[in-house]
Amino acid sequence: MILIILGVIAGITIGFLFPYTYNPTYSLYVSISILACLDSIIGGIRAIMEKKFDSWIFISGFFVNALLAAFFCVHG
Amino acid sequence: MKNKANSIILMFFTFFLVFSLTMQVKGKPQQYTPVTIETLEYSIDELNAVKNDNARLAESNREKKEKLDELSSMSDIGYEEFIDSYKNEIRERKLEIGMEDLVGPGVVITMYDNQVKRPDWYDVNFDVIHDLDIQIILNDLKIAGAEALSINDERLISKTSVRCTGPTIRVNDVIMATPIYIKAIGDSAKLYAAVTVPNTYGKDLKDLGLGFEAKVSDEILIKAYSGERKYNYARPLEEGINK
Repeated sequence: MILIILGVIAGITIGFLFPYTYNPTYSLYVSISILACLDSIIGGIRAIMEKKFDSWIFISGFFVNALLAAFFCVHG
Repeated sequence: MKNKANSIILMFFTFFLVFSLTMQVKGKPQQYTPVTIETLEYSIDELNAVKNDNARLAESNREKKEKLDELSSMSDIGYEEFIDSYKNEIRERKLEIGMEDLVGPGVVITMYDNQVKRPDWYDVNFDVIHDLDIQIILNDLKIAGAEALSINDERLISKTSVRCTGPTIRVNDVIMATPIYIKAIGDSAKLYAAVTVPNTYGKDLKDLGLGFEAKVSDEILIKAYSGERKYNYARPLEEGINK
């Protein structure tokens, strides 16, 4: 759990210090993808708590979720 | 041990997610209106029309100036007093019909659309500056004794109209959008009061949430009218003809 919180803090810090941002044109797609990723992460935390965590399912789910969400968003 | 590795994987992905999220928040996404082919074509037409207008107006301005120079040089020979009075008269008339740049005390009014986001049900028409608002403000300024007026440096003359053209307004055949700067020369205290005192239209606009700022200034420059002056129907009454 501590590691996850560490990840959050590091993400916020580096994200703010990072000099680039997304092209605003794609912000809609990115935000939908972020939502899908959030879903995966929360699913992963739950799986860890239930001690059923499978890293391959998690990693593939993470990317497939994000890409599918963006794809559906682009193609209406 | 397995649990530890899983947590590390999760940490990396959490980091990635929060990193993207932060970048997204930092990017301050703005509202963009889609550009369709139709709007593009419309814009091209509009631009061409404006370019044509400009060329035509510049040409006619040049012709008028040449004519005026010719007349001025003609009057250099002959009776001094007569010429001087004639020149003074020309000056006065030029001032009257907006051919001279004028300076003097007055107010500068800035009008712009509401910048604050409203709920979806809010009628957007209450949040934008309309041609009618500008007309009423101009009228208020005239009542308060404004001697010269301009909208975005377009001088107001007797034939000037303020017309609605969708998201823009048209003054003297020049298209302009918000922010709109209205300059008025006159008694600055009176002019300022005419648009800011409670129960005036300007104050009402401000209370509605629209951008409306009046600023008193000691020296305002109002540029001369540069457009076309053409009278097709009205003509001076000739002596000896009874109508």
